[in-house]
Amino acid sequence: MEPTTQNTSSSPRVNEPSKAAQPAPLKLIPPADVYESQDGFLVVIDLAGVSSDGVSLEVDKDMLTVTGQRPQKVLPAAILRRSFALPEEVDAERISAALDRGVLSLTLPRRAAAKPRQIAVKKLG
Amino acid sequence: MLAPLFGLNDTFRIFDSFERELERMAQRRTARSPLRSPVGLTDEGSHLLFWAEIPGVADNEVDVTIDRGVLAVKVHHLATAPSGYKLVRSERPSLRFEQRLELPVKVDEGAVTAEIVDGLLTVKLPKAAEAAPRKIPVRAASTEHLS
Repeated sequence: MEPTTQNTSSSPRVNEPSKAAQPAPLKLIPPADVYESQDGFLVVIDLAGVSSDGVSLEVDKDMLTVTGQRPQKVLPAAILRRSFALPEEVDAERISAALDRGVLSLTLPRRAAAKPRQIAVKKLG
Repeated sequence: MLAPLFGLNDTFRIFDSFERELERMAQRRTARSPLRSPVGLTDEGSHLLFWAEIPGVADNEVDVTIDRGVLAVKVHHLATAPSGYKLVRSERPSLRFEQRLELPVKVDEGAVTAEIVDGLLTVKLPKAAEAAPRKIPVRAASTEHLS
């Protein structure tokens, strides 16, 4: 269990009003966690401020690219992009994605043939 | 092509035995990292706006309190690995923190509102009447006085 960190700031930095300017969208690399199971991989990406219609997924050869477009609201407009080199064993046709509370979960299933197979050991004699 | 150890490039190989070892090292380095979620405060004229990026956090995992000019935001999100999966790479920051801010202007504490949309927490803090911007009427004066 991690301890709760506590920060006290007596003089917070006050920024200019966020609606003042419309610069080009920021380019950000969102953090991701990767999980693995027998069935495949699960990639979890933080995309705070991005709604489901702002997310796109593209597979080009063995590269999977996730792009999230964050509109200018509270935070400045940004393009959050991350690419992953897919292992050969991943079935790119069956990749699925779900966005919940600003977190994108990508399920990357292994091809059926790539799953580990249990081999029974025969008892001789 | 070998991707850098951690976070320097937006591309990495998920599955590679050598990098798997590097990832294990990176994971040890970051698993208990005190990284905090980005937060900020902006002055929007009639109100202050506090925001925090808290992707994946449910509304019952956030406590927002305001008391005598101090805003306290406590986030207590428990990240759990999905069942059947093991973590092989960890970059996302821990979402357990408390942020206390002494507000730079007086706010109407009874009118403060908070919401989470798409993993972004916003707290709207309307300024108290005496702290809100006041429009000052400009009177036309005759040019004689200026010369």
